[in-house]
Amino acid sequence: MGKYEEKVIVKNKLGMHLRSAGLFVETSSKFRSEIHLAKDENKVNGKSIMGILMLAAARGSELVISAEGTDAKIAVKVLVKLVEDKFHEEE
Amino acid sequence: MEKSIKVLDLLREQESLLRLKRVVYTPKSLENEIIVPDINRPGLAFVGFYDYFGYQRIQVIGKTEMTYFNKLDMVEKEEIIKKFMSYKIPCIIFSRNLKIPSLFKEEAEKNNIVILKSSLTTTKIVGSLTLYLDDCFAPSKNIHGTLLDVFGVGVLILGKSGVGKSECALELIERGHRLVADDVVNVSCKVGKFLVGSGVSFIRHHMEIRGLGIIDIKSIYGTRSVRNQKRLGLVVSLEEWDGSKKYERLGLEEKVYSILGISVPHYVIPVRPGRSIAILIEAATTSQRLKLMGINPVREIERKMFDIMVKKGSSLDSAF
Repeated sequence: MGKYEEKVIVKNKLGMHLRSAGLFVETSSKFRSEIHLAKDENKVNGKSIMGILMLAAARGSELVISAEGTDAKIAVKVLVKLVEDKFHEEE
Repeated sequence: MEKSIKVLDLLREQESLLRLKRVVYTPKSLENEIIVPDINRPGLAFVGFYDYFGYQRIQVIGKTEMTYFNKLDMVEKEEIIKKFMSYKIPCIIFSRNLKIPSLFKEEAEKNNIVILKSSLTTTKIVGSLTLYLDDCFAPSKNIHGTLLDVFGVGVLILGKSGVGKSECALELIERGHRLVADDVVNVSCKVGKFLVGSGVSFIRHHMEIRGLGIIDIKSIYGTRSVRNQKRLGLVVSLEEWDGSKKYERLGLEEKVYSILGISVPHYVIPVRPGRSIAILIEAATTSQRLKLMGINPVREIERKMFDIMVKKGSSLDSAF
């Protein structure tokens, strides 16, 4: 059972909006580990779209992606990359 | 993260209830932070005893303190006020519309302390303020689950994403129960004794259903289908049926689930396609209510069974 976490900054113009949140959840749901997303003192389940929307993370927000489980490290790495790639939105 | 509220927040939320009026304040002093949920009546400080002086607390000054104070001579009064106000007090409230000596006001201004007054008695102020502060500082955390009011009991449904919490909640709402929150439940511990759950900000009363997306329960089902907050009475964990696991068959052992140090009765229910979890949850809730009323069906059955065994002359020890 592993635990892993990494910080990442939201770079999208529209921040973590509906489509990005949906893509994040789609990706995180593929992993077996429990995934959490935190902004400031709010920590939510990374597989729950409503939780992510609640964070209302605008561009520039610092998020902490953490995971606990067998595929914790790869889960965090993939999700961090997704955020850094701006959710494949801007070319 | 340590909780705190500003004097400005206190005013905004309690001004009318506590009949607070501003006496000495500046935009800067209104930002003073209150970092503890306790209140202090500074009688001992007035007589010069400053050991364990709770200067971080809101100070409430009433008739007792002022009667003593007014008996002193000018030199003593100055000494007391200057020493008292030298501490980093966030805010002082004078009760019963007591007359506030100008020296108090001057020193407050100098030291960036807010002075408020109220027409209420000291007891009423302390009582109301204590409840309010307890609320503000109540430890809380966000839990991934769904909270509903089922037959008057706050049921928190837990389980991994995808196990069916939201769908089960939807069925319960259809059956007339109320949704408090889905996906993100903020649970806080009140007066260190019980847990209250509520939804969070703009996503409150919305649900995410796979295949449907996000739906607004309040709009679809009306105001009778939702609640803003509910005390937690039961926790139900849904998990995928595991053939190798032992599930509760008798109901003798009472499991508990602990949140923020408070234990809540807990049921673990296995989920398999084709089974109605909503009905199971209704049954669990009524069962729990019966237990609270002192009726325990398993014990009843056990008692009747032993009665029969004893009557039929079995070798069982009658000490049972």
